Amino acid sequence: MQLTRRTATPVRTGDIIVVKPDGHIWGKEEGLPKFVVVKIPGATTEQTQKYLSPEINALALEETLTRRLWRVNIDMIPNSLLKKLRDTGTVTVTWTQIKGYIQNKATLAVEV
Amino acid sequence: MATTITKTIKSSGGDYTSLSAWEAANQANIVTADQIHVAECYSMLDTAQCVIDGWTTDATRYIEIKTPVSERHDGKWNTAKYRIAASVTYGGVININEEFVRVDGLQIENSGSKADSARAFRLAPPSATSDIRITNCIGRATGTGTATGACAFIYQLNSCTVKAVNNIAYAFGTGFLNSYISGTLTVALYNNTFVDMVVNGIAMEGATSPT
Repeated sequence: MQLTRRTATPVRTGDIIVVKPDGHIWGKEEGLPKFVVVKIPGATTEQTQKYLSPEINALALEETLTRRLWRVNIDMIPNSLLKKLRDTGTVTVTWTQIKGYIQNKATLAVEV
Repeated sequence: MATTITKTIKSSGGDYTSLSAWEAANQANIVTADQIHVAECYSMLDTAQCVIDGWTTDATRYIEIKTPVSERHDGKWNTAKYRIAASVTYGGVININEEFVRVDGLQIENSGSKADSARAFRLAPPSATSDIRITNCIGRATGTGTATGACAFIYQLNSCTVKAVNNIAYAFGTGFLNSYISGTLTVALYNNTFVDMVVNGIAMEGATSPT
């Protein structure tokens, strides 16, 4: 029985790749054009770690459906914020400002 | 001859600060590009699970994750050297979903629940035509719970060719386990040390024709 898929788990736009504490110094290639950095001062890594979890098939726990259960839905982000991300590769926001754009891929519900 | 693209994983001053970011940034068809992709890991604690998926590889255009000898553990767990540590259940800290991948000289810790299949490596390449090599690594399971057999240092799903040489693993349920195998597979295990495995050292399950 082949449990795994071929195409479900590569990285997708909006996937949260890593979560680092405030003040983290990123590597030379951890920015545009491949990545953007969203800084959320005060948010803890414990609080945000769950966004690195994969989407697992609840009926077959060995089966990963997507690499990340959660994503930042860039279609929901205001144009001004999106432009700043595309221009500079980084934004600083509050948790309240960003959480409404973090979406569960399975349920489509946004973080509250 | 393939071009080797080497990137560094360092806590500062490198190309990436996590293996996960390196993998995400470099996913490509490296057969068409005629490249070998190498991630060199330097002394640091890497806290993100790494999933290798979304690449196209072959026998001469492959992925290699390694520590330079100067940055490598000295045969026992060494917090001054590169180690990747994460809490992962029903999966590995490093999941390999591509066919031609080599991992050499890493320390891998899974702090996920041992009762929920915490692993160091989970191998699930999409075809049996593969060559996955895991060499000179140290793995340990540090989570709570009683380890099941599926809590393994190396857990192999799907038919593939695996070579594991000179590895040391501590406190998983099983050192090497394959499961859900539907066809031919080749497993070569040399000089591996599995310590405090509560279920099996090596377990071959469901293989129709292991060699």
